[in-house]
Amino acid sequence: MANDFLKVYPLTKALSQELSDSIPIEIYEYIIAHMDSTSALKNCSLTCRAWLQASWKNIFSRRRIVVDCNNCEAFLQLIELDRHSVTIIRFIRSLHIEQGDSRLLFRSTGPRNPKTFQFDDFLPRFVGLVSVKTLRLGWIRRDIGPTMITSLRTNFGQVTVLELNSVVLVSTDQLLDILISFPSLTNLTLVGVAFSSLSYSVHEGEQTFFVERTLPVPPKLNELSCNLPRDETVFIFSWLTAHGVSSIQRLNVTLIHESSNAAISRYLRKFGSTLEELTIGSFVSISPEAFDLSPCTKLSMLVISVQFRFRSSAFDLEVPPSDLFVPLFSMLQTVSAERLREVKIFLRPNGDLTEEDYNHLDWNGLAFVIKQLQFTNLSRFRLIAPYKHVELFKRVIKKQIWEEHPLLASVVRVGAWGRPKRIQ
Amino acid sequence: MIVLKTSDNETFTVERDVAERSVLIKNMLDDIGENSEQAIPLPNVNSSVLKKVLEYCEHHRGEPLPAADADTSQDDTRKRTTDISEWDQKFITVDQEMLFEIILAANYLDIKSLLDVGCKTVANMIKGKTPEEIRKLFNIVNDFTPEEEAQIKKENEWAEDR
Repeated sequence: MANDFLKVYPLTKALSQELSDSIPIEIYEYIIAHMDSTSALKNCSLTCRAWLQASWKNIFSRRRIVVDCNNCEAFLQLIELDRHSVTIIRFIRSLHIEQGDSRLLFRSTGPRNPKTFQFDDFLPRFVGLVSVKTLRLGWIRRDIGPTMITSLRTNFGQVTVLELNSVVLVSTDQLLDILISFPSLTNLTLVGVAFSSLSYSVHEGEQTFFVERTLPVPPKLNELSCNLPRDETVFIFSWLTAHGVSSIQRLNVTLIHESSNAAISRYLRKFGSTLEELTIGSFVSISPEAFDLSPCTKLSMLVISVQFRFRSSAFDLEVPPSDLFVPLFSMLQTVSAERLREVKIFLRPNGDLTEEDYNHLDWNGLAFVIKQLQFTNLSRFRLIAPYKHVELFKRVIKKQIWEEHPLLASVVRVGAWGRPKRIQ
Repeated sequence: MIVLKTSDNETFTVERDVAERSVLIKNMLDDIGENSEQAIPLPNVNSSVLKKVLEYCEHHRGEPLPAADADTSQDDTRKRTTDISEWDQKFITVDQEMLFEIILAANYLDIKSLLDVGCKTVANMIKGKTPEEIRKLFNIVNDFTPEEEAQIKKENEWAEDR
């Protein structure tokens, strides 16, 4: 719409000097703040000194800057330059720092890699990043020491959104040290975080962890996303449950093992009533009675991913297609949230499925579940298929749901995931 | 009814809820009290611009005003949404001088939604223009040295997709 508008109304004529002089810099800054095109913002940054900071503020408030072993020296030079003049450093809002290598690895594999980028050596020099609110730390290895922890506290204390990705730590203590370095943390994502050693005992199905110190109070999180191995999941949720963390409104978990599912369930039984959005990224190996959503009484959005493993050589689950939805039905039957407005089911098959394969799934069973009382207030039940299957999937849903169960036609919708990125 | 007096001494009589789309006028009315018959002077707005501004306020009367303490992230999202409603597009299809006069008036009168419409329009118009073209449009002098320009270009490269 905006483009059509410009065809009839291009900005071509220069403003009169008098009007131009009467426009305060705040108006130009406001115009720049309304821009959504990075290339236009780059041009604005090169217009004049007065426009530079507003342009950089806009550009770097929404771009994630990635620093790794290949560009850390250039980034450190900018940090040094920022001590004397204005650079992009003070405008960066989202930073992703990827440790390139670790001392541990170079000791065990011969001469030091010249591209080694170990956090203990480099993070103390990451100063002046005063706008960073979102921080992603990747590839941390267990040889990090107190220097890194001190640097996180000193240089990134203002961070509210943290992601730890592909991290191997010695123990829970190292993870806790990292987490409590961010006193303002509200949003935490843990992906592939593992501990070299994790000691615990099991008593009546519950694990008790042996840690070297009193567990600190967890941050007051609003959002938690956890995609961790079994024991690490148990540890995190045991910690949150023990300290009564009841602030989480959006939770994203994977259900990969009975013991970790049980730890998440224990958390939900105590604090599930605060959740507004729950995402279950995967429920491989869940038993029907293992996961109960009934404590989540205030849910407004429920997202579940269903993994299909048809014709897999690596996995032979021996589950006929007609039974693949059984665990999903079991979970949906436990929903009790009266305010639930939207359910999204992501279908994630491995490999290509035919229309016939999709037809074999238990659509009547799904329709039966959606018609139940707990879904009376539901405005959308979205079934989201891989982008490449979406056309055939629509035909299946038309036949199996919209025509067979016309009352559900206004609620059940089809979507696509994995849409190819648009080239700008 | 409220009487507004422009910089060229014209008066406009408007309904209070229309005039109160302007936070400046609302605050003035709160200060001078309910029953004052005094005309409210608007020395920074001329009659042709105020006429346009009041047309906007009349069309949008009754719509919720953005909260003064609106969340910063919501504010940022609102700014970056470049969609302009059909009526607003038609309304803002004015000559270039008038467009900036409306922006200045919206800023002075504190009418956030109108300021947004004006600034989004100009932001859309700047798209695709080179720095030199932008400078020409706004009568801006290039005050960067060639070295500074090179450094800015180098730093802008950090905004590329990696």
